[in-house]
Amino acid sequence: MAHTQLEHELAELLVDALNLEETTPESIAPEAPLFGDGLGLDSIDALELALAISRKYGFQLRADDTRNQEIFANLRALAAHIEANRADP
Amino acid sequence: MISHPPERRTTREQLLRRAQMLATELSQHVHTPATAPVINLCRERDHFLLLFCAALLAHRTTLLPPSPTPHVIEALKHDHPGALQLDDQALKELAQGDEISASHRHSDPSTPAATSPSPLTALLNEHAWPSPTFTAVTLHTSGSTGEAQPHRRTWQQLRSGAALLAQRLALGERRYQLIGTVPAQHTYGLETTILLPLLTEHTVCAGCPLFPEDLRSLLTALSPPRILVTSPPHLRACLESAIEWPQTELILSATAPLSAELAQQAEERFGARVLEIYGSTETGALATRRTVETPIWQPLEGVELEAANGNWIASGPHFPSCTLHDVLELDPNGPGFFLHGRSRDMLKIAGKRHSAAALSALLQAAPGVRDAVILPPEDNPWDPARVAALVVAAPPDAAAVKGWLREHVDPVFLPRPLLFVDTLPRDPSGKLPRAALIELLERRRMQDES
Repeated sequence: MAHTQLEHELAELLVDALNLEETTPESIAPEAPLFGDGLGLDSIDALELALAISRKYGFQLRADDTRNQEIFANLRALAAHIEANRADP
Repeated sequence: MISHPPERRTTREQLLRRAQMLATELSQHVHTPATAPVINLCRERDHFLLLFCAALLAHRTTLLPPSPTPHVIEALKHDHPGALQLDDQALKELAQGDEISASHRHSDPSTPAATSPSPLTALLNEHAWPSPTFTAVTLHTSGSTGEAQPHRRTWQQLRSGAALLAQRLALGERRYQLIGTVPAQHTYGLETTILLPLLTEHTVCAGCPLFPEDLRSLLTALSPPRILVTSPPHLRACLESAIEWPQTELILSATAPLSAELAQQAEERFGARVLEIYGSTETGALATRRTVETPIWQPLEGVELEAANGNWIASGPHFPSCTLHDVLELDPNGPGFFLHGRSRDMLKIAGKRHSAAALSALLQAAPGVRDAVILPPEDNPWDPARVAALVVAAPPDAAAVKGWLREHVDPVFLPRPLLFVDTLPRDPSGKLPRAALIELLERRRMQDES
């Protein structure tokens, strides 16, 4: 499935911020899991990603444990969360 | 004992009452031997404490895995047939329908600590606590030191450790509220965020926040004085976020060396005293230092260090005597010591010796460098006679980093290659598992060749 513009931007940010050398932004499916079996990100990656997102979109990620899993479930969910919270709409 | 969130505030008496019910529940509803150990995977501190106390009261040993990954848990269950494995979700389901995990909305939520007067001795009579020599916890060392090894602690050792740590933190008469970003399954998180609230008058926040903003909002919700229990990578992320931090009286840092620069920033931004704890899974906390004031570590009361055949042997009231994996140098002017890295990390190149950990620390202090690690020659696929370096820096300026390093160490220790990466594969406790580093190097190597 094709990326929206924000999803593509975010995929680039992800590859860039986390140094996913063997991954191209285009190859990150919008609904594939980012953590665990998907891209295999971990909690330190989540911290790095949160920092990159706060710099680019001007808001701090927040999550209690359950919402954390929702927001970081996949690229699409993360993009939707950013769309709803970004400081520069 | 649990200070936050408000609907989960719990006094020690309430928690122990529920733990007693849970202990009974475990024996009735789960068909395993009555003394089978419990694998406690709970992330939330109140759940961890509840299950931990239930295990103690049922005289079951709590097993703590080095990481919550499935194959690690499977290996643990293989070694302990019949072990009960419970995480936050499983604990909630087990307790559903009765009062075990129900919030006590009718209890007085205003001052949980004040309603629990120092009751430990009374509680010892009241509940069926295990004997002092009972193995309360078996911790496991993580992958960075080879195969997972069990490290047992008796109930008495856990209690001594908490008392010694509380004494060292010099918290006086004030009741502090703790919050931790580190897992309770590791020695450091266990001693600070679980045993201190259980065995002293300080309270802990239930949550285990990941993002800086989550931490800020929870910290702000705690009433002062506050203690933040964290690790260098997390502290760095907090300081790099454009967040205004609430006054936090004490920050504890462990699992990896903290640079004096980062400690200084943290003291300023949080208005905190930043204490580093030196310890290991084998020993628990051994010594502390206030990083901005001194490089010298002061051992906890009763901890003794003895040199034997080039190694250091530590003994103390809260752990079985053991050989340390670190190189120490006693301070000639007092009881303290300097830490010179891990013995197994000792590098020897062209007849010259240097600690890999010390070299990593040097590299971390180079201009523009945010994080870095030195890999010994045997792990270097490019040049088996030289160290390799993985460096996180902005901007990535190899010449500047090498130039800086050249001023501080013998040229034989200059990394070949020095590779820039965006992040190091640190595990949740901030450590760098050797396998992950080697995998990262191999990936880079294959890219270079393709």
